[in-house]
Amino acid sequence: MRNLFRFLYSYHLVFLFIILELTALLLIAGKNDFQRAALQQAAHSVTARYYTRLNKFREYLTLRDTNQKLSEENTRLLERLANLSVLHNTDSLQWQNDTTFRQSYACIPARVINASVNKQRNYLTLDKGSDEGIAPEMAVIGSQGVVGIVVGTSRHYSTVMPLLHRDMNLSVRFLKNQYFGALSWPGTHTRTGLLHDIPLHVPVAVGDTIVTSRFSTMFPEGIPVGYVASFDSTDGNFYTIRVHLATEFQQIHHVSVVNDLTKQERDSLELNLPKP
Amino acid sequence: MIRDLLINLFRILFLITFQVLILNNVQIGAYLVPFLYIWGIMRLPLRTPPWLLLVTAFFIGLSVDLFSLAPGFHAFSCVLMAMARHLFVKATITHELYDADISLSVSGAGFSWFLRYAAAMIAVHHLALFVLEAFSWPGLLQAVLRTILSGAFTFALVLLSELLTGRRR
Repeated sequence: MRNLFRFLYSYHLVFLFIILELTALLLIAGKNDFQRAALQQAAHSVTARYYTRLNKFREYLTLRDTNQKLSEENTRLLERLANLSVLHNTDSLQWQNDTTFRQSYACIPARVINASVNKQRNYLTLDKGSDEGIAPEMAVIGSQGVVGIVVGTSRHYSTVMPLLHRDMNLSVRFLKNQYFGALSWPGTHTRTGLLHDIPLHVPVAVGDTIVTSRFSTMFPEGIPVGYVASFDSTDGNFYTIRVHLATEFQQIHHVSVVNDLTKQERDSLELNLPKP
Repeated sequence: MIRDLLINLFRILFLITFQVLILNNVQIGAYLVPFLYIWGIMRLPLRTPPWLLLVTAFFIGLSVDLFSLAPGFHAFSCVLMAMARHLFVKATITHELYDADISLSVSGAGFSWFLRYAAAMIAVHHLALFVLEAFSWPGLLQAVLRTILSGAFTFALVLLSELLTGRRR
């Protein structure tokens, strides 16, 4: 027994080292979403206040840019509105409460109070949370295009997994035709994503716009994701396409969280598919 | 003793705040992120008991982690670095210097010793951090690249901090 204690004592540093490193690794590998969410919430209560304050200051510095982007977005929306009214001739239109005109998306405006771009798994923090109706799996869209997906919420804050995350996989398609593929982020550069699964017979050109596809259960269809920067076909039957991401993640302040009002219905229907 | 404790506590708190509020937002390209806060671990007193060194490093790392929403990465790298510090100091600091209780700084241990010390510590910490973050073979080369670039940045900041705080004799 005495020898055991002496042994433990003489190697106590090694044991301590191993215990601490294992604890850290457990934290990293924590696939347990609840644990992670709980930890994030605890961290938020301390950190979010600082970030809110810091962000207020930071917003002043980029006010000019932000204004510019907002006004551009306004113009774009006005344009679409004008087109819509031409299409439907709203003056004489009888609005019916049927599925054609049912509101299927609701937007919640939010501000980004914390963002990282320099890691392999980046996150954003928004200043709205479950009290404002934000829930995990909602889409987040900025003025330039797709931002990411809500992964966690507390009462007043929520965390977003942006496109700049190693586990991100987004269903996208070309704007000019209906070919679709999957977009991921290789973790090398903050403006470059990778588009997979585009077969070689698809006409691809540099500058082609990539938008979200209708197969995504989170994003509305046709939200800009990025533009083809370069492509090569060395990899067998599929192109490897580098995409210049539309959203500039280093300069992101105002976003909209999109609540797909039909998502639940769609998901439950798809879950109830007859098992073969 | 009390004075040392207060100085170190203050330095660590300041460095963590500085890291989280300012340096984490420094993004020059995707590769350059300085982690100056590890200077706080490097400058802990020479006679800090090794177990306390590891535990302190763990909690310093953990508090930086909390602000990045990805817990564990900094805690792991910091503990590894603290262990490396323990071994490095044991191998290079002689008994006379240990008895004199010198500070592990440019003014205390000499310029060339501190250069080697800082380079070794930064390399261990950054490599562990970036390799852990990439966690794949294709990411390995990129992790090394990030270690070199960010490491050089951190190194410069550590030296600058040493020059700014060093006492003249």
